[in-house]
Amino acid sequence: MTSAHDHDHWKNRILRDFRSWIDQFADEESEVRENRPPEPDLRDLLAEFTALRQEMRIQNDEQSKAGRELGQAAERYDSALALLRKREETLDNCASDIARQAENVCLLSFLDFNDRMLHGRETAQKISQQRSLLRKPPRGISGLVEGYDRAIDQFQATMEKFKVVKIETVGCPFNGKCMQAIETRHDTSVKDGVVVDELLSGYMRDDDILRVAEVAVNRINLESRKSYERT
Amino acid sequence: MNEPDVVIEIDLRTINSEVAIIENDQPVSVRKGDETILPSCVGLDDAGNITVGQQERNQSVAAPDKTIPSIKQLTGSNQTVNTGGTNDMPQKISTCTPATLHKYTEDILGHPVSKTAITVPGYFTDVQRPTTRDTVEIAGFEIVRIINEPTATALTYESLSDEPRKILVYDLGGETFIVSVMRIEDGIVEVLSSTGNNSLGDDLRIPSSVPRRP
Repeated sequence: MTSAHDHDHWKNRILRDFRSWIDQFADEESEVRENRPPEPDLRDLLAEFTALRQEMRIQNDEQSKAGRELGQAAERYDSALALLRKREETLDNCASDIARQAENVCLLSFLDFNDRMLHGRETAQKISQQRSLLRKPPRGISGLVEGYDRAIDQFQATMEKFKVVKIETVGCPFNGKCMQAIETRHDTSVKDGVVVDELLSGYMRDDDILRVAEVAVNRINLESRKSYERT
Repeated sequence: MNEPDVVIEIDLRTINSEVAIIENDQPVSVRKGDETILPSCVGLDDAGNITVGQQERNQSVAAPDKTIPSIKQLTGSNQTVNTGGTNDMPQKISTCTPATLHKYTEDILGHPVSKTAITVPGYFTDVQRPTTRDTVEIAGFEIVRIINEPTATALTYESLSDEPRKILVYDLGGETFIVSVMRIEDGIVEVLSSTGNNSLGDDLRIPSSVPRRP
């Protein structure tokens, strides 16, 4: 009797624990199920992927567009910078050109002054050399010549400082770039086209011609006719 | 960057030619170095090429057979010009001047130039005007307007007054002396009469070596 009772008691206890475990398991499973996200079906997944792909494509396009715009902006910046540098260079060149032209204008005026000085010295020298028994040169004429010499030397030193050089003409072939023919002469002892006389001296400063030399050119076989005759 | 659409003005004169542009509403001569003018003197270089400018003028006395000091005088005529053994029409020779001006204007402005207005003497005939037009067009220009020289003068100096009046414009050039009587009324400038001498002689400039009274 006692043994059967114990057996029933043990059996009930086992059944109770098992039920308790089953209930607890069901509760936990339900809780896990509630917290788990809903499982997508295949269509939703495909739609999601398509949307994602589209979005990535749009983003790529935007990124490419931004890249292009950035590239264009960089090009514009480069061209603006190049233009700015070119303008700066032009301005610098303009400034130096203006300064050089202003100097040339001043130097040109001094060349005229030098011509008069040379002419004055030549005249003074002629007068100082006119000696005869009855007529002596004027008093002080040698001093005048010396004064001319000094002034002309000083002038030439100043011209050298500004790199102004005289154009060589007499004995050289005529060059229309730096000489202007004023007249022709006929001398068979001199080559055709050679300058035989200088009527006005010419000057150069580096590549700039400050003043063309006015010259007489020897022409031996010059045709008297022009390239056309007026009717 | 788009190039500016500039219209230049070419003044093709007998002795010198010139190009001007409008800058800040003012006409400004295009400057090449120290010079604003190009001598309209045509010459042949050693290689037989036709060139134009100061160098050609410089050689005109020493080499008259290779120099044409004022080709404009022959505009519209049938007289041929001997250029290094070949005879050319004046129109062909005349093209050198606007072509040279075209090149140096583009060099100075730094961009292509294609449009121009040109001035011609008031006495030019109906043959000489189209000849001048052709000459400039061959040099690569599109001509937007041809203006009489005295008209251009009147427009420049007399356009500010609204009062109708008659004026006399005289044009003393290197080889020409032209007098024109003009009527200006309601902004319209009309050449009533134009006469003068367009062949005073060769270049009348006096060489610097000729002594001048101080």
